[in-house]
Amino acid sequence: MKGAFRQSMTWLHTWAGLVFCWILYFMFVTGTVGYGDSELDRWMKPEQPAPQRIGMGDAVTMAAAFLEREAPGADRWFITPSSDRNEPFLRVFWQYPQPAEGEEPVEPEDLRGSAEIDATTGDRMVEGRDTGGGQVLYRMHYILHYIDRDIAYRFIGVVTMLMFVGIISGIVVHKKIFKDFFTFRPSKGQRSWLDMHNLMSVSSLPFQLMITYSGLIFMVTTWMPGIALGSYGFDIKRAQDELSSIAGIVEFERSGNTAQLTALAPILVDAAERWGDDAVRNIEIRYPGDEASQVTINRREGIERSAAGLIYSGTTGEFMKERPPIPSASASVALTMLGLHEGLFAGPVLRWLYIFSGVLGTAMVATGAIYWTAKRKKTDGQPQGRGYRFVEALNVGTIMGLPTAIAAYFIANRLLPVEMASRADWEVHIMFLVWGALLLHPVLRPIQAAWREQAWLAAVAFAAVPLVNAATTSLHLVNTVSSGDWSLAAIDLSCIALAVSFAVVAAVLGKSPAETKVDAKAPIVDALDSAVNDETPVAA
Amino acid sequence: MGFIVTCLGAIALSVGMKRHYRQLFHSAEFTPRKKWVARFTGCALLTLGAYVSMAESGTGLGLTLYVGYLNVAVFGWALFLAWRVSRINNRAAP
Repeated sequence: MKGAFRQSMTWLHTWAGLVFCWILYFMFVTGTVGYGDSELDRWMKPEQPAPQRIGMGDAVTMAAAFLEREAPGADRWFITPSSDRNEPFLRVFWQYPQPAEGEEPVEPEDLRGSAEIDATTGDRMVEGRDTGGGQVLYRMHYILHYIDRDIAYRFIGVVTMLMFVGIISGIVVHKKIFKDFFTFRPSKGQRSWLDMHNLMSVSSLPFQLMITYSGLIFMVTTWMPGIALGSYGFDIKRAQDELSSIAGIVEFERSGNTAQLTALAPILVDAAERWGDDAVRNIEIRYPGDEASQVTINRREGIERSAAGLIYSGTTGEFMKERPPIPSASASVALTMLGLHEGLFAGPVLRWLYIFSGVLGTAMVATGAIYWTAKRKKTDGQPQGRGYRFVEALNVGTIMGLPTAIAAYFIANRLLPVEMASRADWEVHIMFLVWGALLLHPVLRPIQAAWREQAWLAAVAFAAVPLVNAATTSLHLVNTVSSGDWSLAAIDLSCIALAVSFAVVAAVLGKSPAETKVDAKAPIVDALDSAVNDETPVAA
Repeated sequence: MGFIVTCLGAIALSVGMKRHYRQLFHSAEFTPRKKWVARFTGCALLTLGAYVSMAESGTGLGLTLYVGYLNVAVFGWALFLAWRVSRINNRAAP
């Protein structure tokens, strides 16, 4: 790194961006898909019924009866009534106490359980096919796959930091950031790729800054554990106690005397009087069936991932106290950033805006990677170096190959036998096998042909998703649209839109260079550019 | 409403830039007066867009929505301008 500051920043932007751009692309694609994770979960489990909305009082009574049967003696019950896209069904979770000293140890997974409850029967929801659903795709954007979770998490931390460096250095190197705000000049070779990269980056800059910075906040304790722990003399117990105290959590013990759990419905009525309707997110019952039991009503979170709670006696239903949201300003900033990153609070419009911004981020990374090759392409007929060829092949195999692999993941969900062992794993294996093949394909083919062929393949793969869905389930587009189930219809419609987009790209790539070259007959574009680049003052 | 005001702000702001002014009205003269009126109107409308979004949906949610509106407005308008130039070029081509 030498030369002037801006040149150094250009170098930094180029290489910080390039080195891990394919991983960044993977993170952006899977993260963007993750904004539809709950909808994908439903789409990938077609055996499950449509979301069930029942009254809060009925829901908690049904859930408490279920838990009495399934998890007596548990330390905690959590009841999450169905409310919105994040919680389409009534859901319960329970946790048993750790075995006392001298007792036989129990596997952690045997100490807890969870279930979705069918509101029509009060029993467990039909399980449906074994699938990773949208959650597996969503989790890939921060823990990847086939890699140890801790290693992947640390690696993603490095990549996210490089992304942040790339954004900041990109702002510095962009001399005409305001002048070029709306500029896109198509059919001008590398100039067009740079314009598109700039347009995608600048138009979505607040989102890209937020998503990257908040991504780093997620990893702050992974990468800088010493700072947090050092404040407590590296005493983990002390740190945990203080965090619990800040969060208003007071530990208490069982009394050992059994007592009937109070009716939960009147507690919810009281909570509604204090907070208003639809404010309850979930209900936690500590030591159910014990005289010391407590019921905590947790408030629905907004953008900030911290919310108040109301605490009641678990035997009399008497209101005890309110637990405020975390009062620390720094924690509030951090939790707001985390809430913004996850977007769980977003309704349909904002969720689509998140997806749109994610697509812009994905395209920003892709156009940056393509611009790198466009800028370095030799025009004098000399052969390109191995490094250049490697980047080109990775660009094709990742930018075109990964979306096709995700389409293959959806198709696998429909075509793999429902009773197949390790079915969910095989859905993911198929996705990565397809991606692996598509990474290999551009190595074996001329690069222009590889772009075109993979674009057509992506178009066919996405067009196949709604067709295979219609052939194998009753949740096809005609049924979902006619029943107004737009969250499921949106998945089929998005696949069709992607198929059309890739087909357009393939058609453009299929045109001969002479057909796509507009420069020769573009007098006004050139005249405009020269007029704008002309330093003479504007006419008075 | 917040989205519409934000779109109008993005359009007005682009009209205050010589390149985009010529893309829209290629034969008209781009005077400093036009430039500053368009830029001021654009900035005012963009600020109003933020205010309207927050008034409609609350401060936090409104601001988040506004950032999304801004993405769509700027990107969509830039693509429209590029399409318009290519249309003018196609007409001008022999």
